[in-house]
Amino acid sequence: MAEIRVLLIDDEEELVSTLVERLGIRNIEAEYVMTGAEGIELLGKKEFDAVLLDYKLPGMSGLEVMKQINELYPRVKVLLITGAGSVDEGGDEVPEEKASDVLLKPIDIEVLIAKLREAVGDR
Amino acid sequence: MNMPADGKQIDFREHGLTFFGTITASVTHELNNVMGIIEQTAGLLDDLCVGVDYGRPIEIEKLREISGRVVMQVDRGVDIIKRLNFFAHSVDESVREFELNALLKNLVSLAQRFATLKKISLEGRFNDFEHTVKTNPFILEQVVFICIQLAITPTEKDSRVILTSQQESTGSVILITGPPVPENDETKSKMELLRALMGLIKGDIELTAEDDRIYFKLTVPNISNEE
Repeated sequence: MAEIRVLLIDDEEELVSTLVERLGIRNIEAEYVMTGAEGIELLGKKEFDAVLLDYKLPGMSGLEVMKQINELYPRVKVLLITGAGSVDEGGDEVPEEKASDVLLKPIDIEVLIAKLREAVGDR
Repeated sequence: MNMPADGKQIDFREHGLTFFGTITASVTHELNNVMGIIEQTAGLLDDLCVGVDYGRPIEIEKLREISGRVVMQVDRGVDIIKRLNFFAHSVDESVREFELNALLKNLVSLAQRFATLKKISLEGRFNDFEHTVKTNPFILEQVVFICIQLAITPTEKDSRVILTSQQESTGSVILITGPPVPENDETKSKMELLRALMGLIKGDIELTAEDDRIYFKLTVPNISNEE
């Protein structure tokens, strides 16, 4: 059985598909979707321990998606990912108390795994 | 500085800098994504090499696929840099002659990410013939971008934003059509800014609404370097 089950929500398909492959090599079960709506739908169908969520998503923003996940699936840990500066770009503050962690792109896979273990271990 | 009818001063330099910053931030965000993908792809290659040490051979097809992914991202990065470079050169001279459709196509590409984030389709439909205009390209870019910003309002109805251009006796005309613009203070202040910017290049802006669509018509006359 996989150590952690993680759902990646990001519209950069090449990025998330490669991350899914690399996480799989490390025995972390990962899947990806490209919109917040798809992510919330999938969380209703499958069990995940954590969500890696892009701050800037088309349509429903990362913050809106995080709010819905926190309400509907409070067990699931949310880690936000963002490009440097894009938090300011959107004019919003990332409410860190609602996210287990905030990671900056480009993502170091070992740092990501450490953060995932830390977040999931916190439950 | 400029003093419109309501007495509020418009700092064009500040607006220009804000616009330049907005575009640069967006482009560098895209470039950061490209770099992130290349980094992960290199990481995957490294993971596969580690697998070889443990007796898991790498298939040649997999290597070809990974190399293809890198080439695709490098091409994407080069395209993004070309767009930014074209845009950066628009401040070289305050007034110059340039091909209007080339400038509009570049601006549509630069604005694409803003539209995508609002799930709106942004499209430029330009004819093939050369369409030269002599004006201030940076001011024109600001005007068109603000119109696009106003037009990319999420709506349940037809959410396409379309840019076209044509030649009329009064000058070059740019048409931008999109979903209805919300009537609020932000729209009001952007319209004020648009009129003031168009005034700087002796142009004209008309905003009309019809069948749940809005139409911006920008008339851009040729101006001389002294204006």
